[in-house]
Amino acid sequence: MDPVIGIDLGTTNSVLAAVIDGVPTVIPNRSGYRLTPSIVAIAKNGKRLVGSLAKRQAVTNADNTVTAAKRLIGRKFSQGAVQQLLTILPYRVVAAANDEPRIQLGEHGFSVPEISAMVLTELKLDAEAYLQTPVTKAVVTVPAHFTDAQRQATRDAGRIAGLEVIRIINEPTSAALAYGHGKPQLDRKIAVFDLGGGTFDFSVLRVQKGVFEVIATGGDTALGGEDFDRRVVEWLVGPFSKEHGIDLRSDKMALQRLRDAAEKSKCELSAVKTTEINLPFISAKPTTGPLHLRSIIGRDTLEQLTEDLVNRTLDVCRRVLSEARVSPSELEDVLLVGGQARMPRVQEAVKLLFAREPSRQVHPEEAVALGAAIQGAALLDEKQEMLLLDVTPHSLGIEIAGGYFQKIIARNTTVPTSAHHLFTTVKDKQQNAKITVLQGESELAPQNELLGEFMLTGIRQAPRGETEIDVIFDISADGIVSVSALDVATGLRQSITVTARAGLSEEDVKKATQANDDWLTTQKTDVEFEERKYKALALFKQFDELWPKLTTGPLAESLGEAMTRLQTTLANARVQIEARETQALGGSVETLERMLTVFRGALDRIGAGSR
Amino acid sequence: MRYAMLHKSDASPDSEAGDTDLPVDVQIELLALQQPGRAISHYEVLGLDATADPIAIRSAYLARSKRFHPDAWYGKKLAQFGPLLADTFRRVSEAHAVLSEAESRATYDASRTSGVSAKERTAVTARAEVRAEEDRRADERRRRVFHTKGFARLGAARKLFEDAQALEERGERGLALQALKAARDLDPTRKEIAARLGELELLAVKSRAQQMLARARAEEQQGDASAALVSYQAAMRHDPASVTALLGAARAAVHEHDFANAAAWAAKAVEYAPKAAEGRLLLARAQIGLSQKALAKATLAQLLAQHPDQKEARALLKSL
Repeated sequence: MDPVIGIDLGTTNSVLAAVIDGVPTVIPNRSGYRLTPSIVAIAKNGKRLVGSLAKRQAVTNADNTVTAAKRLIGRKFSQGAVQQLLTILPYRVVAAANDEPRIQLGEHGFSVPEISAMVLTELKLDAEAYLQTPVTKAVVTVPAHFTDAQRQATRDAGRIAGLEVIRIINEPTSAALAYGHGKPQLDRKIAVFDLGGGTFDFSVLRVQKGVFEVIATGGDTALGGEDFDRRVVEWLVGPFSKEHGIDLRSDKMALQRLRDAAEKSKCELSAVKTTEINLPFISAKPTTGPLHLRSIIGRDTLEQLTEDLVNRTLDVCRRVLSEARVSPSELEDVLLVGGQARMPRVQEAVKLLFAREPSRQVHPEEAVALGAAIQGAALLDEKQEMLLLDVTPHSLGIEIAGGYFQKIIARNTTVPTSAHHLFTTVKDKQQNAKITVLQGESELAPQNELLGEFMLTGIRQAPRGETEIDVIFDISADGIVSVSALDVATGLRQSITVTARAGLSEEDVKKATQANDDWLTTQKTDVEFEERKYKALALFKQFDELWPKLTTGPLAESLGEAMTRLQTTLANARVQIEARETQALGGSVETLERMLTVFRGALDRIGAGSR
Repeated sequence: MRYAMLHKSDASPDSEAGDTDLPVDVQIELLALQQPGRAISHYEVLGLDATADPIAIRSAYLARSKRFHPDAWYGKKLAQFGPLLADTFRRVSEAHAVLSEAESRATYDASRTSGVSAKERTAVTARAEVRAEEDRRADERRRRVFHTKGFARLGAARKLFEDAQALEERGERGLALQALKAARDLDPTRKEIAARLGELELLAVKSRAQQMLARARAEEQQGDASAALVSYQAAMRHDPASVTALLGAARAAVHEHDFANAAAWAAKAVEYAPKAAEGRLLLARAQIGLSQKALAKATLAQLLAQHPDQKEARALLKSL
């Protein structure tokens, strides 16, 4: 069976897992860590850095370091949420054609899926190094409330990274899989509270006979650990600017240091009551010289600063529970997932709302990736008895006359599903009709998210009202929407022309995939070159040591021609190292290795003979 | 969103019939559920008849989901059965959604007219009767709670009384009051409850009066006599026997030259606390304000009889 990996592609951190010999296992990255920061940077020397390497240099290279790309993925540049983000992101985002946000790193502009693909490529390489086999299939998780466009973009990112994303699953559902894995007798209703770095999800599930059935789900697109960090940053910046008249947020390097310090102190406050934030030389004034920022923050302060954020999560929980028609007392377990769910205040609030101690059976940061790996293995394994029944997080519908939104598939409908909409011509001999597909809950079409527009073309000519076209909407198990149309009277497929579409075009994805492949090849060549150079240098040293024995004594005369060849090869190897000729250097290294064995053998025989 | 770029000839080579990895029994079941020209009921989709109980519906749903969900056959060659699987799963899911809730199931049952066997019809009628009976019983239970004069009612009252005591101990006076009121409504004869309710109501009123007094004092100190007057009056409404409130109101009223009211309140204060100097002094000032000099003189004389060293009173008397 081909290996399939599970990837939790998070806003701040990503986790990689696979089912190995039937056991879901987190795969550490090549540096040995189980969490890989979802950070990408282009270093000053032009090299691509991903993960902790990128995070480490973020302070000194804030302009060219991308954090939290997940908050941008699958969104339009002009969207309110994106515009709001732009004010706080240290890197430069510009609008490309098609209203696509593009991230500017050095001289190059990257689409958001390309940036996510860099993280995925890194994880793919980690998986290959660990499993010692090529990996091409993956299950990637997304927040449950992600729209169709965001799911598509995530899938595109996978393709660019050279991964076939065999399934996109929702993060809370994935955590539930990790919880219920290997317990076929489990029969209960559970809730998953998933507060990650950038997103919040809440799902109610029923687990019975190996079927994981989502009853209802909901979330907040812009609520996560980073918002908590920002509150701390603001709390630090306010008094400083009052005292010194300097807004530290305008200095990118200072801002990055503040962010790091805020995140660190927030994490520490989960364990201790107070902690110190100490940022020496954070800024400077010509009059007073260097300025330092030093502050003590208490857990109660953090809780006050973030009270409204916690309350927002609770509001979502109440809404989803009422939609699921489940009362808190019916739930037999509440899983806490996501790094931010470690905060004691969050745990307390959850405990109060559900009147029960949250479950500690799953690892808050690893459960999602493990669940993805489990789902991947279950899909490929024929004997697998497990089944996941997820729901669509948003209602799907079309725009109707007057700018209203008509729902065709209601939210929380189990996927895969499909629905029809009968379209009737309104004019005599009407040939074309435009259909606008949207996702959302508002009654007004423009307030919902546009999935796409398409034209029904070449409609059979007839008096108005006589031609009926059945438009069919399908939502796949990944939550991805597709549309087709059928002429009711003739039963013929109706052709569709796409006039507006979210995300990257097929061509863009292909181009990006090629670019990523090229990078991988260079990267691989680089690694090989370094290896060979290292070997060559070691050989040079060994020949240096043998040199006196080879050039003097009884052997010197007999070697003759071989010595000439050796000298040429050594000289060639040095040239090849200079010119970075990986292939040629490989040949030279092989020759040198062979010669070393031969000469050593000869010397041994002479040594033995002379004794 | 993906768009199916479909053309009028969409029969691709791999949609040839027969070229599939799907087991034959699954193929047969899928085809059996596709009968053009005949509506297939939700019960049939789940392989049940209308007599099925909720547990049977649930387990049929789970079993059929595992069988017909496209994920169960992931990576298999499905050919023309691919769309069929997805459609069948959707119908299974829909059937479960309708039949798993008593209300939507009843509506659905009522809407079915054709293709229903006599046995099924009996089951549906029986189920409707059971539901009606359950509703009737629940209704009766509710009515009984409100209308019995029996022990249950007294017990409930006692329970509420105990709850109220617990709430009071925790400082939740408002909730305690509500519980006691409910208890009194259930059992008006029990003196304990009525007495405690009275005490608590008094306490609540007193504490509100105290709050208003504190506010009035603060306003007075800030020199805002008209606001203080309003607050003192409010305090008086909550606790009409409060001398402090009466005196405060009189003081503020004198300040605001509202002598008629000031006189009335001061007189009341004197009535409740005849020994306090301030009451008579305020009364005298109000009387002077009302040009009732003779009365004022008498008041001041009484005051000086009690407190011979009251300089202010002496000065006032002299000015008269």
